[in-house]
Parts: sequence; C-alpha cells; structure tokens
Amino acid sequence: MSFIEDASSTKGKILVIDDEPDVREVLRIHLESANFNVIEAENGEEGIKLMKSGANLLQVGLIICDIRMPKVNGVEAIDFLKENAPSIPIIVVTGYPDSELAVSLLKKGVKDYLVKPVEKETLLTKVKEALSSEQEFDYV
Amino acid sequence: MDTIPPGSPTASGNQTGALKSNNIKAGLKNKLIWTMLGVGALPLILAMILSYLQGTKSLQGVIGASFKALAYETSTKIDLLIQGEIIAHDRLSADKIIQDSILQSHQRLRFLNSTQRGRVLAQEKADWENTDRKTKPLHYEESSIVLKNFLQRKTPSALATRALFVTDSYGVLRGSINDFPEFITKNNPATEKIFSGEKATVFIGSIYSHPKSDTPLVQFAFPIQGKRGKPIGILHHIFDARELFSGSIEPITFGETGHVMLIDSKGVVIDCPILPTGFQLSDPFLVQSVTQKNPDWVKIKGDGHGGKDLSIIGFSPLTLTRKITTPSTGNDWYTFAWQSSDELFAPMNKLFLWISTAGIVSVLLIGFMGSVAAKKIVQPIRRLQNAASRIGKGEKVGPLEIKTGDEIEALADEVNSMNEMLQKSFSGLENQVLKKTQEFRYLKEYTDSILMSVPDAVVIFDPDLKIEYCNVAFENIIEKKISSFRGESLLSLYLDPAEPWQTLHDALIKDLENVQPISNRTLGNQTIQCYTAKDPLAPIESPSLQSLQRTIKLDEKVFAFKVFDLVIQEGSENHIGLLLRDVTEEVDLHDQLALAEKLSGLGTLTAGIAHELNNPLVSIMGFTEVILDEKDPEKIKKYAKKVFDRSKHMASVILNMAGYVRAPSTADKKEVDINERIDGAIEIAILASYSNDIHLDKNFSSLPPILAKPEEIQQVFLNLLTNAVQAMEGKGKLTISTQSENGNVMVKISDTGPGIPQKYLSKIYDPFFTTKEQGKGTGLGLNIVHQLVVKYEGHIDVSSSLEKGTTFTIMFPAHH
Repeated sequence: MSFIEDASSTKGKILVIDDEPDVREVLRIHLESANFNVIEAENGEEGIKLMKSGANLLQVGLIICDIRMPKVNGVEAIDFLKENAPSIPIIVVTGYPDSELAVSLLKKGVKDYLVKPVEKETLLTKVKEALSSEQEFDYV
Repeated sequence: MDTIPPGSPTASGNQTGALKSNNIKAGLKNKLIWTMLGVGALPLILAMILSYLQGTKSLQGVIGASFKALAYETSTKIDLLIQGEIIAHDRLSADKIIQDSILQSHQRLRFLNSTQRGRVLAQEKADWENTDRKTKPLHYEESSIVLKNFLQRKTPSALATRALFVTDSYGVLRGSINDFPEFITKNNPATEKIFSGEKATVFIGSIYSHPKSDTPLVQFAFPIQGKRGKPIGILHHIFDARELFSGSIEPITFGETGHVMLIDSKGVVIDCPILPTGFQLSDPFLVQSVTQKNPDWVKIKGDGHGGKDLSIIGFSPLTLTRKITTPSTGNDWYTFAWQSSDELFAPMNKLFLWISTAGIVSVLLIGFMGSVAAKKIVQPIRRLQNAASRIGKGEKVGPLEIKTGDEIEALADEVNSMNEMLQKSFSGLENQVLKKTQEFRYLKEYTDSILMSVPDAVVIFDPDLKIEYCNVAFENIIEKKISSFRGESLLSLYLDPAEPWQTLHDALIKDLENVQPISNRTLGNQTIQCYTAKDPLAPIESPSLQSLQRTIKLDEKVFAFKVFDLVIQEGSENHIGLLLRDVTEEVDLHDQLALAEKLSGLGTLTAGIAHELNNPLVSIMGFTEVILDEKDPEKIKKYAKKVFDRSKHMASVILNMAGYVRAPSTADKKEVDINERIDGAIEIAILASYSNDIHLDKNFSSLPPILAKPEEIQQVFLNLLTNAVQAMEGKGKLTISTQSENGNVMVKISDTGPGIPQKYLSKIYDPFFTTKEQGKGTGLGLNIVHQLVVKYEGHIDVSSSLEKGTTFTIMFPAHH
C-alpha cells in the first residue's frame, strides 16, 4: 500500500485486540473485505504498546477490544485508552454477555458492546457507525 | 476471804471462767499463791520445827536441872534430919541413968555361970513378958523413963517412933518405951555391926517389915559407949520409915503429879507419896541410872511408877547419910524427883501445839495475803489478756486504763498503742477491702451480665466434666435451671433426644485431652460471608458447610458448638468450656447462599460457556460466512477445516462441563471399585483431549472397595485427568497408580506438564481459580474434586515442580 493510501486510510485503520487468533483472523477477514486496514494485538498490554508505537495514535480510527484476556484485560486497556486517546472510538466485542459490565463500559465512552458471535453485517455496520459519529462526538 | 484451798477443783473456778477457752491450766494467781506459800511457809515451818526441837531440848534441860536441884535439896534436908537424930541420940546414949542400968546389969551377970545367967535371964524375961507386969516398968524403970522423956520432944522423929529401947552387950533389954522389942535381942544386924567394929559407929538399917507393925520399918542403932570408949550397949530406935521421912519428902510436890521420893540403891522405895514404902522398883536400868554418885538428871524411858513413857528424873545421893548406910548395909539412899510424863511434857506439847497452830495460821495467812496480792497483780493482767484476746478477734477495744505504776501499766500502754495502730491499719484495710469488694462485685456483675446477655450458650465444666456454670442461654435451651443440674454431667441430665448430647459429651472428652487456652485461638473461620457482586470468575472462597464448626441439631434448631479450655488459675486443672451457638438461621442462610452460589455458579458457568463457546462460534460463523462468499476451493477447504476444529473444541468444552452441570444424583452410596472409575474417567478425558500424543502408564493394584456414589468418584478422577491432559497440552506422559495402604485406598496421578507455580498451590482448590488460558477451564474442576474428597473423608495432596510436572495423591478410606 502506498504512503498516500496509507495516509488517506487513516480513519480506516482498526486495532483488533483479542487473545483468540481465530477470532482475530475472522475479524480481519471481515474488516479487510470492507477495505479497513487492520492491526492486531493479543492482549491489552500488546494493544497499548502498539498504540504507543509509530503514528498509531493518529492513524488508528477505531479499536475493537475483547474483555477477558490474559495480562492486561479489556477493561484495563479501555481505561488506559480512554485516558490517553479519548477521541478514538472503541467497540467491545466479547463472548461474555453481562449487562452490568456493558452499562459501566458504555458510561466510560465505549461506542458499542457486541456479544460474540457477531455477524459480518452487524460488525461492519457498527464499525461504520462508530467511525461516522466520531466527529460529532468530538464536538459535543 | 476466798482462800479456797489451793488445788481444790474450785480453786480456779470463779474468776477463770472467761479464760477457760484459752486453755490455761494453772492461772497466774494460783502460781503466785503457790510461790508465796513456797517462799514464806516452808522456811517458817522449818524454823518452827527447829525452834520446837531446840525449845524442847532447853525445856528438858531446865526441867532436869530443877528436878536435880529439888532432889539435892531434899537429900540435904534428909541428911540434916538424920544428922540431927544422930546428935540427939548420941546425947541420949551418954545419959548416966542409961549407962548405969547397963553397967549394973553387967555387974550382976558378969560373975554368974551360964546356967545361972540363963535362969536369971529367964526369970527376968518372964517378968517382962508377964502381962500383969506390963503395968510395972522394967527392972530398970529409970532408964525407961529417960527414954520416954526423950520422946517428949514433938519432933517428927518422936512421932514416927515405933520403938526406942536399950540393950546391953548381952542383947538383953535394959529399958524400953513400950513392949515392942523382944526381951533378948538376937541376930540383930545392928548388934553385930556395932560390937564387931573397932570403933563404935551409928547403924542405919534397911527397910524391913515386922509382924508387930503394919508399915515397913527402919532401924537406927546408936552405940552406948563405956568409959574406955568401947560400946557397952546399944540404943535402938525403930521408926515407921514412911512417917519418919514423909515430913521432909511428901510436902514437896509440883504440878499435879510432880513429887520427890526416897529410895535406896537397890530400888526399894523408902518414902514416896504414891508408892508404898518397901516397894521394889521393877526397872533395874532405871534404878542404876538414878543411883549415881553425884546429883544429876536423866531422860529415860520408864518412870518407875509403871509407866513406859519418856521421863525426866532428877536425883541426888544422901551424901552424909551414905557414910552410915554404906558400912551398915551396903546401901545408899537417894532422893529422886519425878513428874508424870504426861504432865511433864504438857508444856512441850503445848509448845508444839502453839507452834503448829502458829504455823498453820501463818500458812493460811500467807495463802490469804498471797491470794489478795495475787489478785491485785493478776487482775490487771487478766484485763490485759481479755483486751488482747478481743483485739485478736478483731473487736473494737477502747484504750485500757491500768494505773498500777509498774511494768503492767507499761505493758498496757504498749498494748494500747498497738491496738491503736492495729485499728488504724484495720480501718485502712477495711476501706481497701470494701473498695476491692465493690470493684470485684462490679466486675463480677459485669462479667455475669455479659455472660447472661450473650445469646450463645456457655457452659463451664470442671475437669470431671461436671457442669460448674452455665448462662441463661443454656438454661433456655434445656429448659432447666442451673440449680437443678449443677455438678451433673451432660449425660446425666437425660435430655431427649440423647444423641446430640452424646455427641457433645464425646467432643468434650476428646477435647479434654488436647485443649488449648482460648487466648491462643480465635473463633476463626466461622464467619459466614455475605454474598456480594463481584467478578464472577475471580477466585473466591466458597462458603461451605465443611468449613463450619461441628454442629448438633436440637428441636429443629442447629447449634454450632465449640469447646475451649479455661485456665482459671495458674496450675489448676483445666476447666472445659462449651460454647453453643444457634446457627439455625445461619445454616439456612448458608443453604440459601449455597443455592445462590450454585445458581451464580450456573450463571458464571453460563457466562463461561458463553465465553468458551462464543469464541469458537465466532470462528465458525466467521469462517462459514467466508466460505459462503469464497470461490477458491483451497481457501474454502482451509476455512472448513477451521470450522470443524472449532466445532470439535466446542464439543470438548461441553463435555468438560457436563460433570459440573449434572444434577445431583439421588442414588445411594454403594461399594465402588476405584480402578473401574479411573478407567471410565480416562476414557472420557483422553477422548476429550482429541490427542494421540498422550502416553498412558497405568499401574493398578487390586483394591478394596470404598463406599461412595460412583459417578462422583469418577468426576474426581475425570477432573484431575482433564487437568493433567490439558496441562500437558496434549503431549506427555500420564502416570496413574493405585494401591491399598493401611485400610486406605491411595491413587497417584502424575503428569509431565509445566507444573503449578508455588504461589498458586494454596489456591488451586478455590472455585474459579484457573491458570489456564481463556477457554480452557472454568476454574471449578479442582474445587469440585476437593469437595468430593472431603465429603468421603478422604485426603488430597499435591506436589508440583515447574517444568517437570504435577502429582496429585488422593486417599479414600476403604469400606470394610
């Protein structure tokens, strides 16, 4: 991919944080089919590290994050990200349907709380919603 | 006067009544009296005895001396009497008429032959003896007249005269005052004495009796001297012996019986106011003692008058008369002063009586005065003693007032100051005691009310497990009052039902042996935690009935009991305490909690299932969607393979969870062969692992059965084997061995997995604790294992070393 493409697709760069390789692969396939650029992290710690490296803070337009992960889990990772990069929208995709947790996360500014398994259409719709509402969110 | 004789039973009675309790045998007073008697009376009595003896001796000396003087005086008097008689008779014998009558007779008779003389004398005798002639004097009327004239004198001797006559040298009577004499005197001792001697001497004869006289007589004979001094005749004078001397002796009396007597040296009484003249004294020793040469006195047994008592006799020889009597008859005459011993010793007896009386009076006086003095001395001491004993009993005693001015007063002062100090310190002490008592009472009430208010029942047992104390809560449980069962053991209360109380009693006996002081313990993990929302998958401690205290059930109520020991005093025997807490509600709550926990566990499980299953479902759905749009058969095959793998994983997850979700079996316990159950577990575990790289090493011994529910035992081993297989990630060696040991069944399961870090070893039985990666465990497996092992009274142990593997050792008691 060329640099211009790279730059132009800034808003389309998506970080996927999940400890299951299969889940990450499925999400990548789905997102790439909609021309999103995907980077992956195995857990919260790696995701944070990745965000700190290069221009990812600027380039990553959306983070898709699991909750139950080894090392730094999703909740901790989200806390860090919301503190350091509040403008980057986060969508939680978890296999753990817990309404209390969902409410608390949404209060923290998480865009959406999706329960696995997620259909491709639903995923892409939610991702696009999140990316499109990002500007509004900034001005609120 | 309270001079009760010392030593009599009442001697210490009147004043010592109050002191009897003090065990005083001899009072001080008695001692003092005895001392005074000892000190005063003994020397006094000694002195009295000595003075009595000395006085008696002196008195005897005085009496003896006066008796001697009396005897001497009397003897002198008699001597003089006799001398006077001798002089008078000398003169008479020289009378011319008397001499002539004798000379004429001689003239007549000298020239006659003996026949003629006999005839003449016979004629003359006949004339003399002729009663008619009695009116006519003798031939020698003149000489008889002279003799008669001589008796004209009114002297005692004249009155005592029985005969006075003259004889010539032939012994023929030549003149007489009466017809007492014989005409011819023959064999007269006087005649022989006077005519035989060279020199004419006076003769005094012994006492003798004469038929013509009623009384004893004594003969005096005086020589009638011729011109050449030769005796030519004899003047005889015969006296009534008693009458002659009685004038000199009998008036001399003293006292009732005292008198003087005259005896000769043979002990014949010559004159005595009591004894007849001529009486022979029977005691020769007495006679010898009183017929000494010189005047003296003797103390002698016997008195010469028939008595045998001790007598004092004064005596004196007739010194002048002796010169006549000794040549005359060989006898001496003695005067002899005597008094009856009764009378003689009367003064001495009187003295003795006086001294004895004085002694007794003195002793009584000493006793009385001693008693008075002792009373004076003892009384303040008694008061002191009384006061001291009252002080000793703790009574309040006012100051003693004893003003004797001596050591006793000083002692009383000391006692007063002592008493004062004692009272001071006592009152301080009393205050303190009062204060302490109040504190103690407060503390006791405080503790009591705590114990009474505590809702838990508290029972304290002595070392023999007899009830010593219980609080109200316990009384309420058994519906009896402590007063009715104090000192009883739990079993002897016969409470119904008996079984729980038996359990308690057994627990007490068991704990009695290894109790620890309560201070070293806490009531510990009895607290039942509240259920609060938290991360459902985080490891938590589960409240379980196993962790609760031992319980008993009474009347639908459940009591947790705990035994503690109570060291009431250092070194005393252990007391055992029993704490009964009504945990009915807690147990109910716990049951609810357990249910809630189970539901929550189900919820968590659901969450886990969701998580575990949703992840593979993501893959399955995702890959399926890819396959639907994919044209490339290679890719389709690849994704289909992934879908198949994920499906298989989901199947294993479901299988794994089956054991936990399965409803509790209602089947009863039965005999279970462990080996069989392990085989069953292995089959499922290996199947679930979908792996062909597990090397299985089985080493089974034949085992006794255990009593359990078979599926629960299989669950234990399934969970352990699943863990092992998962830990080895499908590759490695699984070693399973069983053996029978000491009535237990022991199973060892070893894997060659990565091992469990040391810090997790203590947590592995906690529910939801897991080290596994997401999707590989629920964290309930080992918790279930632990609960089941405990349920069947077994034991589980784990050892692990990193990179080498983990070994679980499980032991169950065999069923006999």
